[in-house]
Amino acid sequence: MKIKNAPYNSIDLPGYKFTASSPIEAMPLPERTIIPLLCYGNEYTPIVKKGQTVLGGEGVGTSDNPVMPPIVSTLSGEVSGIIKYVDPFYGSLISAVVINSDGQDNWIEPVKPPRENASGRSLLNSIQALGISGLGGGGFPLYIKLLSALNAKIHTLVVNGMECEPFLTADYRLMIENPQNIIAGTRILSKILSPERTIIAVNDRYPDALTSLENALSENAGGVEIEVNPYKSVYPAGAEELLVKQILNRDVPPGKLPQDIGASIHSIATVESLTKVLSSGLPPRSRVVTASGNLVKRANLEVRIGTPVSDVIQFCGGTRSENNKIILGGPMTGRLAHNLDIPVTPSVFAVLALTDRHVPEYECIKCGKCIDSCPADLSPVDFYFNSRIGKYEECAKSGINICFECGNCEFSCPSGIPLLDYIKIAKREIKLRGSKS
Amino acid sequence: MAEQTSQKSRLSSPPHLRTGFNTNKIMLVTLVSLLIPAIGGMTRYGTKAVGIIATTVITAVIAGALCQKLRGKPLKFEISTVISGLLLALVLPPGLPLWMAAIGSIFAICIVKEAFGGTGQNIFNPVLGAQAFLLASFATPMSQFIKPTGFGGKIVAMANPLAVELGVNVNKGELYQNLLFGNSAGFVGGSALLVIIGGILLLLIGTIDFRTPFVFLATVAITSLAFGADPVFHLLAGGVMFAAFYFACDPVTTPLYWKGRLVFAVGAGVLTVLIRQLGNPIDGIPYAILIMNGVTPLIDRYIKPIPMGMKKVKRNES
Repeated sequence: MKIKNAPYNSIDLPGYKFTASSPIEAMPLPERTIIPLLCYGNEYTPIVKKGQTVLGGEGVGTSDNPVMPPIVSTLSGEVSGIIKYVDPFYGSLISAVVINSDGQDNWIEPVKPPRENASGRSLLNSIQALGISGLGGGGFPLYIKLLSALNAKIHTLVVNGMECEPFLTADYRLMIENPQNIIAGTRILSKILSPERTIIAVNDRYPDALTSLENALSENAGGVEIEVNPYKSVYPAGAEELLVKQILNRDVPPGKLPQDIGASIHSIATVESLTKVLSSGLPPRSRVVTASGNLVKRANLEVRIGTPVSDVIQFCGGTRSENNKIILGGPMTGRLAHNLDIPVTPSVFAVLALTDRHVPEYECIKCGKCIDSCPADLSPVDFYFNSRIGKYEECAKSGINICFECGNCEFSCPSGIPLLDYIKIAKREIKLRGSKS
Repeated sequence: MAEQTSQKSRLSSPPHLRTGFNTNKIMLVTLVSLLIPAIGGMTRYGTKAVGIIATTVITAVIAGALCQKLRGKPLKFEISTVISGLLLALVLPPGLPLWMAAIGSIFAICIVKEAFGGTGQNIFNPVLGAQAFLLASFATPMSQFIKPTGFGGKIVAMANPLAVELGVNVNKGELYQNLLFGNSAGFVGGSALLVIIGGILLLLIGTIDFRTPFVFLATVAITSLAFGADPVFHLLAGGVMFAAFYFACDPVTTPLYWKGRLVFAVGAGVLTVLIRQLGNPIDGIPYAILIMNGVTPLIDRYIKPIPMGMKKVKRNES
């Protein structure tokens, strides 16, 4: 099958998939977990006190918003306190419950797994009760995402196995090791959303993942038809907006979501965990994290949610060299861990140690490489000049909010200008001014 | 160990990977590619060429340093200044008095480049600005060419092929060959072949986009055909090859978006032939490119990519 070129500007990044052949390895139970009282921008109120013992799966926080999922402990033990830390994804101070493990890992009574022929509605209710969150970069609660997709009347369900950033192999290992779970999870989503087409999109760098999924599909035939399609491995092919553009040949209008043009997109990790969580009847407890870069041991680890990042690094034997920065997430979109006492949350799909290089900054020579690499056809250089002199309205007019911050412009800039930072500043200012008026 | 790693970290925001292809490397590649026609020029014009190249490069570097001092900026060696100096030497006639070359170099750096804000900010190409300035100030020495005789040869005046009416019984093969190898009277860097080799080097390394030189050269050829002139002659003579690979591909003074750069290339190509055929100056290159440099902000304003998802919106509005 000939793989079509990406219908947008993109860049070719080196793979650095060092951990592609390392099987998923379970990390030992951490001594303590840190459970942030935050879910997709909603802050929760703690409902546990210092010294209280909790079981795995027991709620520790509550939200005023009834649709938000419960926040639960991911191991059994004693609450050692409620701390505050700066979350690198949220960008400001949030509260978190710290739980010291009792080493027993006792869990609450599991809810009954849904019946074989359960209706979409009852599956959706189970998802809400178990508080399954998306394991992609956004960390959006699955229940809310499915609910809004139902309202938007989607016609295409896409499971995103593009994993286009360098280093990452967590989704790849899941496709190799647990293809049955992925197929089963995709069937569950398909049952809930009843789309016309169900597609599992696989990076064309992963031919064996494609075979693995196809084999699992043929063993598990019957039910809705699922297409397993390879797409060109470029960066950022895994961005929702672009995957939709490739599949539906339509642009997502500014300010809209892919579901507004009829496509609902879920990550491989979410779909895989969906099967596991529903059959176990217990809230999600772990996710697969790629530990790579300059870490001594490079591996795909199954990490308990809430494990401190320092534990992951210690488990990997520290870093190979001095002068590293620890990145949570991929090298293009991940955030710097300014403090290693922060937890692995559902949206942390990688812990990377990268050499902390100083990038010299030169004057903009107006080469236009940022424009040539922008998948959304924006002019980052215009944003740079306008943002620098505070002309944020100009940025808004030329579509700065269409930018989904893939980082291509900054990567390509030969002058080393932090273009994405200027874009983020402008976006923030526009948002603040918009809410004031 | 863990604490160590975090404390030493500088602030870093995504993306944490950067291209290895930085501005300095682009400049260095450009400089190396220019050495090919420069060395060719020295072998053809001997000490005359060496003198002019040395004069413009050294004056440019000194002028650049002085300007940085005047503007209160830290002294920094910029390869782009050396490139400007070298490129200027390559588009001057070899017989030009050295003091005139020096004035041209100072004008290029101090007026055309630094006075407009330095690297990245200049509207006009410094080299062509200086060439036009010298043509206006010293018209006669700027249009006197000499025969390429190598080191120690006698200085013999020779007419630039562009200034001569092409007769019917001119041997075309010989003419093209002379232009390619720089054996007819021309600039210091007057061998079209060596400039093409330098340009291909830039294309292969990827510092320039192949579309711009291709469209520019095609436009020159088509326009000269429309005038009934010899397209091959127009492509090889004068500064057309320099314009194709260097002046039309200079990132600073040409449009940002590649479609805009194509408009620039078409405009420059048409103007070059128009000036050569209908105007007084013997070569249209400096004026054609300078005019298009002036139009560049306008091109940038109107030829922009349409952001994702906005195409339909625009169609509905109209």
